[in-house]
Amino acid sequence: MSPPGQRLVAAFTLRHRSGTTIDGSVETGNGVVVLYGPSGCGKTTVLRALAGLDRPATGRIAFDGGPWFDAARGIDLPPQARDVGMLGQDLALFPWLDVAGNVGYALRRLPAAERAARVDAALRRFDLESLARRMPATLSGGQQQRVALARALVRRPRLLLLDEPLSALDAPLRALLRPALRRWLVETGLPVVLVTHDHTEALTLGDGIVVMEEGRVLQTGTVAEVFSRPADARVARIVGTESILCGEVIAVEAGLATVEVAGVRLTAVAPPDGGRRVHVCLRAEEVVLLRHTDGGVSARNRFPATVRFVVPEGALVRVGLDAGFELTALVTRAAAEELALLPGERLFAAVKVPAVHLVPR
Amino acid sequence: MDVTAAWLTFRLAATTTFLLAAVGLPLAWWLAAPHGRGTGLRGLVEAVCTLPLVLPPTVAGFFLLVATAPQSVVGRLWGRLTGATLPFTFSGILLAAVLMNLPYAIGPFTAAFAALDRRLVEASWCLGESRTATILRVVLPACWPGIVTGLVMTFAHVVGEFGVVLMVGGNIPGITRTLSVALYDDVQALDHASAARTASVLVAVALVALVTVQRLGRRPVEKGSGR
Repeated sequence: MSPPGQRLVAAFTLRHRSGTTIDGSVETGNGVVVLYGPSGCGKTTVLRALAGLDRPATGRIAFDGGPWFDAARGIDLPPQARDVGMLGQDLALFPWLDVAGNVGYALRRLPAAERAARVDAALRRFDLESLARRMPATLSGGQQQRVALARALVRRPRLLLLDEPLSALDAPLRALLRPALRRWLVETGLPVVLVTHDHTEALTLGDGIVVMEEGRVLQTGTVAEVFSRPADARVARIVGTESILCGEVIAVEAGLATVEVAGVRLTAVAPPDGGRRVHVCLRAEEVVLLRHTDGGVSARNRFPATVRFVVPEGALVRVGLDAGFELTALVTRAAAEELALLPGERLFAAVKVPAVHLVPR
Repeated sequence: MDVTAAWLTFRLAATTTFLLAAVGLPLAWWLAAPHGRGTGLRGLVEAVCTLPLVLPPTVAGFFLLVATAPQSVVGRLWGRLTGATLPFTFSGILLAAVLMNLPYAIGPFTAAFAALDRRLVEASWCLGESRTATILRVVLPACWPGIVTGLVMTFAHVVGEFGVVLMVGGNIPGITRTLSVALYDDVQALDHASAARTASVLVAVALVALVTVQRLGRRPVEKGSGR
């Protein structure tokens, strides 16, 4: 985790070439902050401004207390002086340099022996030793990804910026690399800002999250907070209405996993890699509410819950529940009246097995 | 073949190529700016640099002769700086060659810079390399085929330059008589044997240049990061 003081604090506006104004408000604490939102919402522009590649119109960017950009004082450090590790969506490996040449690119000023040692260590860490003399064009997407990460980290930057780091890969590889990327990011101990529009990536890779839409920041918080308790309907639509719970896989049998969440056991389809720590995701619209457990419902997961709040949302009603963990259900007005939902009421919640989504952490 | 004319032609071509590299590379970098190509001042400058391609050399030569005359602004300035005149001197045909060959240098340079993946440049900046170091370590390795193409085309074209050299420089042995002017002289004097030798040399230079450029073009491109 980053030492105290190594924090990025940014609040600025930037006029994009397309004419839209983008508001970038990002703060890093410990770990990975995800910039999350639909494509074209300005996430990449915010990241470029943090790196010093695009110049904001107003506001400030400060790192570790020192200003990187300050419109009022006319400060604008170039990218070279900000000491960030930037990983663009396209990776931008130098095609005329081999893997070792790419990784060692930033170490030109070091004595040869130290440079070689640093490059070797980076190649080892990202399992690239056997590829040291290969050219980037001959590598697979996943290998290029690792080279780009090694190149950015070898010079020991103070802040890591990643733009859709897994988007260039195909889906199976993405699923495989997600936990590895999370592990690498945590190991660096650096504050990280990561741009993604992918729901699973945000969950797997992020600690904190900044939700953006149309150039504006809608909500900031921890991933679990924002996904489980979206501030308004717009955020809810972007993140999906979902409860994100921390769970532990205690058994896997015949492709089904038993997960324990705050004392409640749930059955879910087991994720491909057998990590024990998982996020359990439950979409509010998949949670069924029952007065009694013996109602004619086939859902395998049933557990008692207490109603915390009832909020009408158009034709639907959002019901906050306490089942030992916080849970949200979305039901029709008719169902809410039928069940006579009132805060403090005790009832049962049910979820079908395929609706319990496990994301490894 | 006129050895003096051959040596003069080589000096003219080499100096022109050098000057166009010095002026043309920064100019082409500016012209190829990511979001400004072909607009405003850039568009105008690019058009002016391309003008010699469509202008008859005698027309350009006539205007140059007038513009560099001793009484003209350029002529007086040059006279005050060097005490010499421009028309019918080596400096005069050098200036003409530089101007006439702008498109052969600027064209390939600008195309190479415009095709450069700017994300590579930004990646280098973010890796801590200065703008100058980035030009040496990213722009040159990525763009050298285009740069060499521009240099070779310029050299080859200056070797064959005729109309503008004759208009501005006349035909003074050892000072302004290039190979192509000597060839014209030979034909006028009905010395077809000498003319044939000179013409062969000019064909050879042109062929070598084109083969070089072709090879650069066929070079396997290691582009893209595998997307």
